[in-house]
Amino acid sequence: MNKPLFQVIFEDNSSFNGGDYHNTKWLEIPNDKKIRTIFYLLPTGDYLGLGGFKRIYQYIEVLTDLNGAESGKKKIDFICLIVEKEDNYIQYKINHQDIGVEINILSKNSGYIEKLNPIGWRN
Amino acid sequence: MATTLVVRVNYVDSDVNYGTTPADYIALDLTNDYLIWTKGDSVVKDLMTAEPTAAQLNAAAELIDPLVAVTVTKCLLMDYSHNVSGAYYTHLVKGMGENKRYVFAFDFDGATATEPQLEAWDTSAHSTAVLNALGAGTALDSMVKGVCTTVSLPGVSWAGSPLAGASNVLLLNAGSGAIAVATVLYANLKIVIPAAYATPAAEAFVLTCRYTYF
Repeated sequence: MNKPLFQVIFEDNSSFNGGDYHNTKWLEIPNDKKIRTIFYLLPTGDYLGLGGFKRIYQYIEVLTDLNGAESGKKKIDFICLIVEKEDNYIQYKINHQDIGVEINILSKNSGYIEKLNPIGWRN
Repeated sequence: MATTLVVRVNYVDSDVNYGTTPADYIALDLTNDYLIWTKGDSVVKDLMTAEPTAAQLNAAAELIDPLVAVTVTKCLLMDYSHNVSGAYYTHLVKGMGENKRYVFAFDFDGATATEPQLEAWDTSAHSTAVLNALGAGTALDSMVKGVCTTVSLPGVSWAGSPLAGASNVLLLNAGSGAIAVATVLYANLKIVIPAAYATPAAEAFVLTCRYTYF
């Protein structure tokens, strides 16, 4: 059985399991519950655990070539998790090309954050 | 579900958008179809009845001019299935490089998290952009120019943004960020060869659309 893409544990101890890369179920995470911890699947098969945030955001970034040897394939470049902390945002880029995790600190007034589609935030 | 992308080109009237006149557009079969950038001649042209050979493409290549920059004359869609408006393998992409808005269409069937963008790379590895066509290592010198036309015409004699690698990309929603619902975004593209460019080449750079989903 495939591992879920993520597992969310809420403050009330209930949980929600994600789907897969094609249907992550991210937007199905109930927004009326406070997330205590999330465990997100890494390409290695391990899980990245995150907690202690105000809000969290997730998206999958893909590349589709219009020509060339791999034209038409939808290739995952990375998965991005962004957690909102008190003073800043922390971005975790889970790279699917070299399986590393890149961590960036973003300021509260980041233009990048402002241009994100707001429907992706979860509490 | 993951948002998916269909790329279409206008082959009839580049003054009409896909929403109002879908019949004017051909969806690219990205596995088999491809774009041909060419000067064109009596063989390599609109409505060919066979796939052009490498020799035919070379014979119809755009020539470098010693005095003025040259915009590649034609962009042809090589339609592998050749089942649009007759059994034709090639269709002229209408409005390419002109002051036309609805030329290349990027049709997303759902929301994205960030703004979709068009990129140009040497290969499908998306790691380098040093082909002559992409500026030979100087991204701003890329011959591949793009302009987002999602919200307006590009303007007469539009210059466009040079496309090369990760730093020189074309935002497809005019810098407005993510798309909230299923949307068709538009761009116009052209290739401009500098005057007296010293290195003639036949290069197959890769155009890539980068987008996101939840």
